[in-house]
Amino acid sequence: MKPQMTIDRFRIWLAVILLGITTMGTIWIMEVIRRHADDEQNRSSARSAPDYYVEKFNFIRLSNNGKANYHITGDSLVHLPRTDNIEIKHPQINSFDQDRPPLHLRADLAVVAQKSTLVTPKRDHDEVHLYDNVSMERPEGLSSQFVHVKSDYLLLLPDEDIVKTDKPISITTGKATSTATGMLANNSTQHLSLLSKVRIQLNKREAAPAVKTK
Amino acid sequence: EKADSNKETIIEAGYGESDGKTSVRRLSKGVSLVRGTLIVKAENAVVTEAPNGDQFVVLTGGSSRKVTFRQKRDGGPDLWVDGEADRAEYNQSTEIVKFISKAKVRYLEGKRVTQEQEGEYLSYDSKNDIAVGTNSTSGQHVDGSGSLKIILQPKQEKQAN
Repeated sequence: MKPQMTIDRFRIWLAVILLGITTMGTIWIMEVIRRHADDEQNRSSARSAPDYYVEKFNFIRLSNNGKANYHITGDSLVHLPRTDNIEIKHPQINSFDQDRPPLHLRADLAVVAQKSTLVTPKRDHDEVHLYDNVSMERPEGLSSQFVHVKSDYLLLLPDEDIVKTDKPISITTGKATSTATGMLANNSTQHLSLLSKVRIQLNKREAAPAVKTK
Repeated sequence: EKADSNKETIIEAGYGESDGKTSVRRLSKGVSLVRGTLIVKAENAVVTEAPNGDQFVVLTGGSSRKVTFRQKRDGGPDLWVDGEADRAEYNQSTEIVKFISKAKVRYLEGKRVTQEQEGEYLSYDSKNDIAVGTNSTSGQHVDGSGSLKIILQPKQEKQAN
């Protein structure tokens, strides 16, 4: 009687073991899948370190009509995936458009927060923040007079052709040198507002014209 | 005084706007204009530019205050002229300051007023030291619309000191 019983018991135990192995197996596979998914999630949530950088470059942004809207050259360009921003060292920005007077800008650092759907909140227009030793020059043109703006910070909204700052600023034109704190300039309407502490120094007429500050 | 004419003009204000196309500058929130010894203060100012680049400034006192001006006069160590009005115009090329409506101009020797004029329109040419006064804001004489008041103080005996 004994051996028969052990065969039954053996078969039962075998079933139990088999069952155990399959459940353990599924749990194990589930675990692997879950961990793999996490890694994927980590990588796409964009680490803060730059994911690419470019050196000695010329970045040209085309406007909707396909013409060059503005182009930026610089020593180095670094892309930060988390904010989808571009940081440029010693940028030179030249915007030129037939119907708008050209503008030349220089600064120590530019942070371009470009149109992007990756970030929340979604950005629907370009913002170019310029920091330290910022200089904006517009040459004498048919419809525009020479203007040279210097400040420590300028915010550029190329789509609306607006340049603004809340920092102290100095503006030199052929006839006058003005300083103020805070400025809002619309390049297409050529309208410029100085927000506070305005000081305008009209050049003497007989004196030699204001020496061109490079 | 003459020396003012080759000094640069410095204009200060609380807020400023300028339109590149028409090169009109609008200043507000307290405006002051300084050129050599000439000092003009007002609430608002509109600076327009003649084609040759000369500035033409119109200053208004606004509700709270009048436009005031003060400048040293040639011909003496401490000769001054000062004045006020609701509105003033200053032309950089002719260097004439025009005071319009309830205008008052005083000639002073140090602190002592030697001559005083009140009228609707008073202008002062700092390059040639000429003052014009009429009884209408247009600068032309209009019969029957009030008169110009000029008060001349007697000359002071030179104290033998």
